[in-house]
Amino acid sequence: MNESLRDWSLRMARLELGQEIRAGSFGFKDVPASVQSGALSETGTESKVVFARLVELMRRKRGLTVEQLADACGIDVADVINIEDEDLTGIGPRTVYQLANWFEVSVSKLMQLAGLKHVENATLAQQGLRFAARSNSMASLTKEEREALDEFVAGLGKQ
Amino acid sequence: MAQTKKTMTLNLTDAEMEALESLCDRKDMSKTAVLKQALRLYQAVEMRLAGGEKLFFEDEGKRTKAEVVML
Amino acid sequence: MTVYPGRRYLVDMGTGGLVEAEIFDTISSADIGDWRTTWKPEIDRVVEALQAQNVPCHLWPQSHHWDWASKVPPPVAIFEKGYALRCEGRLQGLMRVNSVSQRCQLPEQQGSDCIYVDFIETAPWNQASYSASPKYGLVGSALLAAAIHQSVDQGLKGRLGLHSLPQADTWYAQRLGLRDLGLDADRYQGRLKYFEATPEIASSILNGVKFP
Repeated sequence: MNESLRDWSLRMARLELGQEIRAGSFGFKDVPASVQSGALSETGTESKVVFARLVELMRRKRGLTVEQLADACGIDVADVINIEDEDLTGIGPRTVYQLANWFEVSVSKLMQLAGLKHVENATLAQQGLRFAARSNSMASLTKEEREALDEFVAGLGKQ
Repeated sequence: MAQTKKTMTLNLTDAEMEALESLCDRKDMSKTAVLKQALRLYQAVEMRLAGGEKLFFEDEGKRTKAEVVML
Repeated sequence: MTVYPGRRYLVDMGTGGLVEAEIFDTISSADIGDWRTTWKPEIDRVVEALQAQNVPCHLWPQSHHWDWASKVPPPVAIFEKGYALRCEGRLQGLMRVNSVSQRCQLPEQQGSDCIYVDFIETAPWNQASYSASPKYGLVGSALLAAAIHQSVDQGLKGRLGLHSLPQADTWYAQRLGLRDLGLDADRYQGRLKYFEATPEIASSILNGVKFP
């Protein structure tokens, strides 16, 4: 039996949730030539893990729940959940921008970690991997995690 | 709102029908669809010509451009 | 033939419930008026804030500079068509398509005619780029379904082409299943990916649903 319009609508809405849908000659003219479309739409696995771990530890350092962090940053709870689950599909620049401001780190560097900007600095990737390797998802930050987080955040400092 | 439709009868020569059928085969479209698409394309070209633009074909291999003369 | 105006649904992202919407196969002067008085101020407000915070412009919502007033197809044009989606008295989505400007590039339909999506956008309050709590979902699906319907009605069997904003690549490739032909060297200076729908992909998106 064919799907009803209502069922189709509910199914497609789940597929479309959190997705950017725009097509056409947008501000492509504003995109620097050095920024490749591929780099904007695909985030390396390591970078995703680093970004996820950073957001999670910064949240836990302040003793916040996912909802509290989302509220404090003015972003969607679903975005925080997805980021910490290492699912960055549908995470837009505004979300990353809000997090960067709240964490008081460089917008540009956080955009690179989130895969929304071409990686400009190989050092950032290496620092990120070292940080991710030293941290894990225990409920409260260990001394080791706190040190690793503080060191990485210092490297992400605002320019 | 539902669009009103007008009907037209079209007489084609053998050569014209052959050309139409060949286009239908190549484009996997019906005769009606091909003719309507041709009308859209014709209007699109005419509107741009009326705006002062020119229509060119470009041969990428030979790096040449040839203006399509529209009367 | 698809009939317009047509009843569609949007999803209220707050409640998760369906709300009735209407889709039109023209962009009227009232729609442009709504764009000017309801979309534009919201877009400008966010862009001004990003500007004040020195966010590089290529990270702004990337259709911020669009002027939909200049994108409305000429009334007599039969090769271009505009669509407007309205819900609860407000303009929720806009799309413009072209019947003649693009030929298919996928090998199995090389050179075939298709409906090309020139521009598609949902209202700023529906977008995560502008709003912490997007209001309505499904605008993209409803508009893209209209583009597929037009392709079918015109004998193009559902074939579609479009150049996606980089952040929408996931939507078109993974969620809808359009084929990704990669960066298009011939258009937009090779910076946008080109996606295509075959008749089979279009059919699977519509899934046999009878649209009113």
